[in-house]
Amino acid sequence: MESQTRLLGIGTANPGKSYKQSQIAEMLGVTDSKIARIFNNSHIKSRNVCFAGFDENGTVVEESGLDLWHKHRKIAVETGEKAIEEALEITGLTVQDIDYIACVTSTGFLCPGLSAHLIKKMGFRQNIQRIDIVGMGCNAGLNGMQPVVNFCKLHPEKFGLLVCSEVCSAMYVKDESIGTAVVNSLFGDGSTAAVFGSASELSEGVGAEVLGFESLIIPDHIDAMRFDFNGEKYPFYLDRQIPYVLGNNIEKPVKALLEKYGLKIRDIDHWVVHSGGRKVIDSIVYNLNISSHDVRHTVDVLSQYGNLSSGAFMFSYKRLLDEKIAQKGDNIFMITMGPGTTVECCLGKF
Amino acid sequence: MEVNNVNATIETQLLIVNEDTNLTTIEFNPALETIDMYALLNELRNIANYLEDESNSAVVIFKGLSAKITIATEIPEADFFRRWEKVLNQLEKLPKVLIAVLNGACENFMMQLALCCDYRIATEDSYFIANELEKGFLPGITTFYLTKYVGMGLARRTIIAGIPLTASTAFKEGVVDSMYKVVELSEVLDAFVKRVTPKNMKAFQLATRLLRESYANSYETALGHYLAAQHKCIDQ
Repeated sequence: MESQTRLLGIGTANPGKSYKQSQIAEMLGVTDSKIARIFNNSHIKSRNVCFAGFDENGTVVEESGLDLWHKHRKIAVETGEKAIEEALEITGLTVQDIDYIACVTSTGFLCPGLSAHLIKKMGFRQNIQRIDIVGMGCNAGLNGMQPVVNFCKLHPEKFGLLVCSEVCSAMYVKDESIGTAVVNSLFGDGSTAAVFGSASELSEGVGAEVLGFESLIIPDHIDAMRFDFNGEKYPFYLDRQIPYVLGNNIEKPVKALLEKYGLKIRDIDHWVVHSGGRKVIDSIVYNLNISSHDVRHTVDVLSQYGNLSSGAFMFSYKRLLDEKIAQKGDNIFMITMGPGTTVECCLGKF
Repeated sequence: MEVNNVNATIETQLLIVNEDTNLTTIEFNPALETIDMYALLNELRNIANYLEDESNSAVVIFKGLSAKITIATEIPEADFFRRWEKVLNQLEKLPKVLIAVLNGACENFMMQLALCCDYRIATEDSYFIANELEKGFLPGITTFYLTKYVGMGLARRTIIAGIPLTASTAFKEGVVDSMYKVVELSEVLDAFVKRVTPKNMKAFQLATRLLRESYANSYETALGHYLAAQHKCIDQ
C-alpha cells in the first residue's frame, strides 16, 4: 500500500525590518511621480527587506554585486535556519531526524549550495540526502517539494524537509527605469521550511496528504521573466503581459491534475496560490473562476510581505493551517508560477 | 441526475426538471407541502453538477420557489451552511442565465436561491420573507445581495425586522426585473428569456461577476479585476 505522505509542519521567517511600502520608496530615493505611483498602487502595504545601510539623507547606500552576493549568503542561511527551527518545533522533530533536504533559492548563487551551509550551521546528519534547486524562480517551491515528497513516499519511515530561502533585496538594482521600479516595488525577503513525512502519530490533523503534481512550461514566453546581467548585477525583467499569459494558460495544468483524480474545480475546498502580484492573482482568479475568498491568504501575504518568490505559497499554506478550518477529506490545490514561463500545481487531501 | 437527452423530463424527489434545446426548467414539485432543508441541499447540488457538467442550455428557470422549507428543530451545524453557500456559488458561476419565477411567498432558503439568480420575475402578490433570524441563524448571502439592491434601510427592515418585501417594492428597487399575471406567465417568460439570453456567454458571465463584486472593491482593485476579466473575455 502506498504511504500517505503529508505536510507535517511549516515554519516561516522574515529577515531585517518590516517597512511600509511608502518608506521603501523613500529609502530607495524615488522622486519620479510615475515610479512612486507604481509603489503606491501595488496592493502591498509592507515588506521585509535587508538594506546594507543609509546615507545622511536616509537613502539606501549603493551595494556592489559582491556585497549583494554576501548578503544573500548570510541572510538566506540565517533566515532559513529560523524557518527550519519553527517547522521542527511544530513537528517535534530535531535536525537529526531529517533524512532528506531540498533547498530552493533564486536570489543568489552559492556553491556549495544552501543545503550544505544549513547542514553545517544546524548540525544535520552527515548522511542526509539533499538537493539544491537554484534559479527556477517563484515557481520553484513546488519543484522542490516534488523530490521531498517522492523521497518520503519511497521511505515512509523517513522525514524530508523543504526549505525556500529568498533574499530578494540581494537582487535589487537602483536605476530610474520603470522595469526596475516594478521589481523593487514587488519583492520582499523571507524563508519557509516544510517538513514532510508519513509517520502516523504525526500525520493527523496537520497538513494535507500530497496526492500529485502537474507542470506546464510555456516556452514561447521564455524571456518574459528573467535575470539579465548588466556587468555587475542581475536586474530582473518582468514582462507586463505576464499576468495575462499566466491567466490564459492556467486552466490547462489545473484541469489536467484534477482529471487524474476525477475532480473538478468545484471540488477544491482550499486554494494556495503564489502571491506573485495583484495582477497575477486577479488573472488566476478570473480564469479559474474562483472567488476572492479562495485567495484571501495569497492576497494577505502579498499585502504584508510582497512577493516572497519561491516560499510565498508556503506562507499562505501556513495561514490556512492556522485558520483550523480544513476538514478531513477536504481537497487543497497549490499553484506557483514563475520564469520559463512556468506553472506548477500540486493537489492534496486533508 | 440523468437528464442528458434534449427535450427530456425527469422527476426527482423534489424537482421536476425539463431540458429543452436551450432551456432548462427546474420546478420544485408542487405536490410537496414542505421540503426538507437537507434534501434541498442535496438535490440542488446534484442539479448544479448536472448543469455544469452536462447541460448545454443557456438559460435555467427556477419555478415553485414558494415551497416551504422545513427547518430542522436543532440549528444545523456550520458545515451545512458552508455547503449551502458553495452550491449557490456554484449556481451563480455557471455560464448560464438563471431566472427565478416567483408566485407568492419566497422564504429564507428559497429567497437566497432567488437572489443568486441573475433575474427574477414575479406576480404582484409575491413577496420575500427573510425569517432566518427568528429561527436562530443568519440569512446567508441575502445580507450581501439584498443590501446592494435596496440599500441599508430597506434591507434592515427585511432582514432584521423580518418585514416582508413586496414584489412591487422589489420591482421598484431592481430586485425583481419583471412583473407578470399568472395567466400570462408563458408569454411573459418567453419574451423575457428572448430579451435576456446573451449573445456572448463568456462576456455575460464575466460582466455578471464584475457587477456582483462592484460594491465590494476599491477603484484600484476593480480596475485590476476588469483588466483580468477583459483579457479572458477577448482571449480566443
